[in-house]
Amino acid sequence: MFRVLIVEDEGLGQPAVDGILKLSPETQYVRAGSLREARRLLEAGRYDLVVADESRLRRVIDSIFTVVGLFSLGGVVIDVNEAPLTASTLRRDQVVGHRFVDMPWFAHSATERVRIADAIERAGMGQAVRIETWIRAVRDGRLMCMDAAFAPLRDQNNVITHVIASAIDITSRKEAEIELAASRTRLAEAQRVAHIGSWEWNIADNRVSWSDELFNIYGIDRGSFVASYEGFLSRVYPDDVEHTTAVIRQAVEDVTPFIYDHRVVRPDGSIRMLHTRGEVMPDGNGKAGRLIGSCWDVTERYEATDRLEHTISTLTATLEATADGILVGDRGGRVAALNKRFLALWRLPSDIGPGADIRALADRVSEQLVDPDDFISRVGELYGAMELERRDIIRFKDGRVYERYSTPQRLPSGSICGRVCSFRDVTQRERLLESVEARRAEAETARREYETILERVSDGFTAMDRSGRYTYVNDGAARMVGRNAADLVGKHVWTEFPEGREHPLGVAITRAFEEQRPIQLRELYQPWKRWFDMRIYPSPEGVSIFFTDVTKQVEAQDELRASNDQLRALAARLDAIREEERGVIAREIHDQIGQALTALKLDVAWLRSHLGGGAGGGATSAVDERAQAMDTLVDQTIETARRLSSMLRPAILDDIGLAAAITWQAHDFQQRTGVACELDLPPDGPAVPPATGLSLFRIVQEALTNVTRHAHATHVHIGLSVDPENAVLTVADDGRGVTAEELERPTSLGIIGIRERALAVGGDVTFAGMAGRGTTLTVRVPRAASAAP
Amino acid sequence: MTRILLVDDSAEVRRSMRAMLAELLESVTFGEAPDAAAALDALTREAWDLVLLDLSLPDRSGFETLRHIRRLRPGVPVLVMSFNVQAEYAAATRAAGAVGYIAKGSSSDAIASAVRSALATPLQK
Repeated sequence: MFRVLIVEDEGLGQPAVDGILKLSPETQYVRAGSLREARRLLEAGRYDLVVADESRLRRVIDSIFTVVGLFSLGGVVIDVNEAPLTASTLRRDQVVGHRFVDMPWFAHSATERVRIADAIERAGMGQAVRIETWIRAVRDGRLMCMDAAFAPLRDQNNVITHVIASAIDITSRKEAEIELAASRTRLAEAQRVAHIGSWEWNIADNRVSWSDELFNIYGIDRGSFVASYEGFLSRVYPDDVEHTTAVIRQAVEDVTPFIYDHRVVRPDGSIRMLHTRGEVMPDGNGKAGRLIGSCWDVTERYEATDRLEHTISTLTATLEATADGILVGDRGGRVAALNKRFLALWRLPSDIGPGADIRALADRVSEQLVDPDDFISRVGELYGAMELERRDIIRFKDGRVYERYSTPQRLPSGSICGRVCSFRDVTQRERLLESVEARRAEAETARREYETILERVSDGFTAMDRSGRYTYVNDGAARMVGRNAADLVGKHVWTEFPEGREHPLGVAITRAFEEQRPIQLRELYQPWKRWFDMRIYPSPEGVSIFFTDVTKQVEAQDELRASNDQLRALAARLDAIREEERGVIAREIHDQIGQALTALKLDVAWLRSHLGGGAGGGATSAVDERAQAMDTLVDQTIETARRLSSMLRPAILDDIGLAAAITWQAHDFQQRTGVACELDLPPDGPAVPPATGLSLFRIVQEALTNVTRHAHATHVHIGLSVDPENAVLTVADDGRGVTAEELERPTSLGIIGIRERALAVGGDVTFAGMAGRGTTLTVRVPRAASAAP
Repeated sequence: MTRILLVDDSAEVRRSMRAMLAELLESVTFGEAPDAAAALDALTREAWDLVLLDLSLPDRSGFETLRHIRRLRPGVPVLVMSFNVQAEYAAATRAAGAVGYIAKGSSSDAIASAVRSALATPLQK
């Protein structure tokens, strides 16, 4: 193909052009409508001949890089354009008029000179000759490769008059080609290393050739491969045959490159996924002549891709399924991903997606917030320092509250590739918190005060959770258990005090929690030999325990009790001695004074009876008067002695018994006070030891004294009954009723006396008072003599 | 002759009682015992028409002595004396077998009347 550029404007007439057009039937003509276009075309493509008006042509060809020369048929240079002169710094006269092959460009090689001479000669004979030739640059001696064309130039009569030549520098291309050849070699090596195979299929003769590496990929050797299209298809995984044939058929029809993946089955049964890039090389008719391509094993990549796709779909689903708004930003502060909820919560349109500027979005939505400036500055901060991790609260003007959790997005390598923000609607929670907060603050103040109090009291206070872990230990508690409060909190009570678990105190703690009822107890904690008062208050969350070391108190109480017992014994002994003395005195009165008075009474009577006998004088009358006065005085003295004796120790108690003594006492009482006495006594009196009988009698006396002094009663009922073990005395009145306060009053000596007397003979006493309904005293004493406590 | 045994630890009482009764009663003789043992001895050895028994004796309780005498000599009435005036004594001594009870310090007439009444009380011999 001979390419001619025709620069056609008003300077070159149509006939001339037509003449040129007849040059050769195999010539391709390209027209340029202006010099500018001509130059552009010359720069862009290769032309064997440029036809134009000479002056214009000159300007064109002088201004292009293509070397253009006009030679005589003998090879002498007739004209050249500026390009070779500029490049070589040769003057025009050093070139024009000289044989072309003698130019310095060919000085280095005789061979090149012959080839050039030959080309000019052949062009002179009417042939279009094209050769690549190596010339030496005049300026720097560098070898350059030129693509040179030589063509005959004919006159109007079609006679060859000159040879015209053009050449362009293809050194770079040539060097690239050399490099290409080298790289082909390297390619084969690379294929082997990279497991890329290549193949070629000549459609016409259905011949398939594979590179060595491709055999490796298919896992077969050359000998076992039927080198045809069908032979290839037989290796394709059955399910992929249809797709493979369709792709290739389409490529052949369209004569277009193709890329597709298909699986193959290796002889060992393993299946590999291959990635194929192919090209269709047309034959002379533009139809597909052969297919060439490369092919590599992408099984691993496929599997990885499969996994990746699965992961991505999972992530996407998760992203949308989550209740939180999600925004993923890249390092540049642009959206990498977001979900619909994010858009919804910020009232953003759905067309915002990856690539959007996050700071701009922040500006846009900030007006919805209570504090827009703060929000914008915080977004700036987050994207200014990618490693920040933040959790903060975002408040909307419409009342919504969101919690933003922002964390760097890290690659497995640890490097930060962006930032993930999640936005959670915490409006309900915040409202709840706000209402709770106020109460909490109050409660906190109260708690602090309470704790201060707890810390001040010397009592121990600890709180435990359900599992028995200390949640609070005050200083008093820590001091008492000899531990540091801070060390105990969070620890389990039974790991800290294992010896306490089976102890009644420990058992009580467990039981109080299990039964959800408060327990109060006082126990000796043997491991420490200390007494503790413990009050345990359970709640479903755990237990609160107050405890006090009462060792000193218990010891003091023990001492007090011992001392009281001694005192009581002493009092009882004193009472017994007093009773004994009273008994002795009463008997003395009875036996000595009583007997003397008895005799005296009888003697006075005798005297009186003997004085009266007949004398009747004044003196006798005076003696009788005196004797009568004596008799009266004796009677009064007897009465006094009887009263004294009874008061000291009523003989009736010893002579007859308790029932008789009570009966007498009751009658006496009724007579003295007018309060009706009703008795319910066993006829023979209970058989009780004398000390017990005396105590009961004294109690009756004391009770009756109380009735007269305090009760304002009109009736008293005294009952005495026995059961196999006890004698039970009751004294009930219908008075105002003794009060609890009176019973406890330390000045109620009557009541204390009753108690002490009963206690001294091993009995006990109860007083039951009902306001306006009277008082009932019940004394229960053992019938057998009891040892004084 | 009516024989009365006076049982009282006080010699003065026995003397004054005997003197008083001797004048108020006719043909009466007296025996005396200062304690329970002597009284029971006298009752064992001799016959008596009445025992005047004081409840307060130095060696035994009066009630005990009374019951003993009643067992020993069921036909001899026993009139009990005591310094105590409570009605319960009368009931209690009667229950124990006495024919009567008289408080010491009573008038001579009251005593004599009680003695006469006691002597008149028929007893199953």
